[in-house]
Amino acid sequence: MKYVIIGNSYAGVFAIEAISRLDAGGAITVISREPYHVYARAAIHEYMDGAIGESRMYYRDKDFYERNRVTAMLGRTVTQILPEQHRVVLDDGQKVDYDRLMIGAGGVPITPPIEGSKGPGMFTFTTWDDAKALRDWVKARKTPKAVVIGGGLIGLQCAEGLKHMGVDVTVVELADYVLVKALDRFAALRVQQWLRDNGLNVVTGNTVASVSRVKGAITGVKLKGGERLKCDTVVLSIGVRPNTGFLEGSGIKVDRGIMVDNSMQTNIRDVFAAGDVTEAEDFLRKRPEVIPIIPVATMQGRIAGSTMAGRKEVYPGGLSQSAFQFFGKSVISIGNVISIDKNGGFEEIISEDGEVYKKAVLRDGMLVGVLSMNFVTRIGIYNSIIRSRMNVSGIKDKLLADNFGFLDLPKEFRDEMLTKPG
Amino acid sequence: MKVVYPREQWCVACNLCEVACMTEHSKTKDPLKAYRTEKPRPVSRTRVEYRPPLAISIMCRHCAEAECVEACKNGSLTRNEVTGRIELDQDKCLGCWMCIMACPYGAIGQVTRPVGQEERRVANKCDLCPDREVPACVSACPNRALVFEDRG
Repeated sequence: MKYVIIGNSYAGVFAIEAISRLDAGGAITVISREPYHVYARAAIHEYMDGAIGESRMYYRDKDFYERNRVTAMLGRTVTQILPEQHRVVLDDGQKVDYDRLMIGAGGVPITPPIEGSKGPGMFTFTTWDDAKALRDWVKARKTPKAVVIGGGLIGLQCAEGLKHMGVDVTVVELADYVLVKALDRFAALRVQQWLRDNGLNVVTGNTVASVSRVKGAITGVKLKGGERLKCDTVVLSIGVRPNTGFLEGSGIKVDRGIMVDNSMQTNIRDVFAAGDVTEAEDFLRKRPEVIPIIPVATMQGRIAGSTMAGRKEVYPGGLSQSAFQFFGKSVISIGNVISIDKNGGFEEIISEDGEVYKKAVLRDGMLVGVLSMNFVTRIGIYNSIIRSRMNVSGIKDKLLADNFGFLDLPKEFRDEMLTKPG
Repeated sequence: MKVVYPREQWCVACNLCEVACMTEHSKTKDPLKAYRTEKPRPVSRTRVEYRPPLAISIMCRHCAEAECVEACKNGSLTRNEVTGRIELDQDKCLGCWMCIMACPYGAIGQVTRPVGQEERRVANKCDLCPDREVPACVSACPNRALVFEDRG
């Protein structure tokens, strides 16, 4: 069986490993527009500021492709998919045939047409090359000043990296507060305070209307309200969208992302999709969503790979979650951390103690979200509880205790979890 | 594959599993020296929960489809295809806590680890004691409340 995988990141790796495990005779080709051995995309900010070296950037060992019988076509771009012929076409016209295809092409930065944004000094921040280019640019300047447009996770991590490199950084976020996808207002304001305490400027409820240049070089930005900020560097990090442009005309159904069934198969036979390019069932919302996070990408990749290699698996739905730190302080956010409608059966439990802030969101007695700042111990147990859809009304008073654990949960749940193979 | 299973009906929260685990993963392999003098102090990779009269010791299940491996940012957590064990490379670990967020058993902890001149906070989990026939916690349990078994 010939397998072709477009994309060489989290979803692709898990697809490769699943196929390799199930089909020892299979031949796998991975095609990536980036020239690198598979690397940790989510760590580029730590590479940029020198916190980690190259060796800790590689996601799998040097012999990964060889060991899994993978032909790696790196630095190559797929321009067209021809499902009728079971064939993909590359940028130079070369054709690669497949029996089963997986699209794990990831996301691309959203780049709105801001006046003055074209030209040197303008960066996005999603690839290793982006991080290297930004680092080199900043290092070549004596007193670099940067404006980061977008206070999502990518923007803030980039901003922290820049700050560690001695750059004067201002983050401009359109919403009322940063990290709107992961945090509630209280937590976000706290994160903003951490950032300010460490010398970052944070502007919210505003956006960059235009970038000013003199003889091509960036001299500043003008905000929507008319204020001007001086800078020589602008990072555009307002978000990413599924990288689906090259699928036009292929017949593969795309909504916001590539639409898939519960085994990650697209509407086209033998064509699968996984990772940030995909729109698949959201466990809590019970509708298709793009959830661009690592644990969703890897799980989808594994399920696609297994199914492609003949062992059909079923996707249980993705649960949005993320863990991150700024200047040594940590945040973990799982599921739905904001009560959308107080009348809709939502209930919030909050526990606050100094630097620690914990919040649990219940809906109709079931746990649907947990937010925890500066407390990480055994947080994953909440993931099990959300997935179990058990009613936790009876243990509300214990739910956020620092020593909360399996002994606070029903014996049947404990036995199911702890007496069987994981 | 064989992993460690808790039997809560026999656990009396004596915490000897934690002492044995800490000692096994220490430099001196001596419980008193390890606890009192080693810096950073070794940390047990199993954790005893205690709500009298209930008690249970919980550590990594070495899952077939491990959520921690799926969540790890940079491949510090991998599955050993030969042994089936979930292995953590603490020198590579970024300390991002994605694994702690993902582990449905709450079985991944944190430890301070010296790396060259610096000290890093990294993830910490059961490695099934690769130098031993039977993991130290199982050997140390006076009540057979921890067993090393293959349950399929």
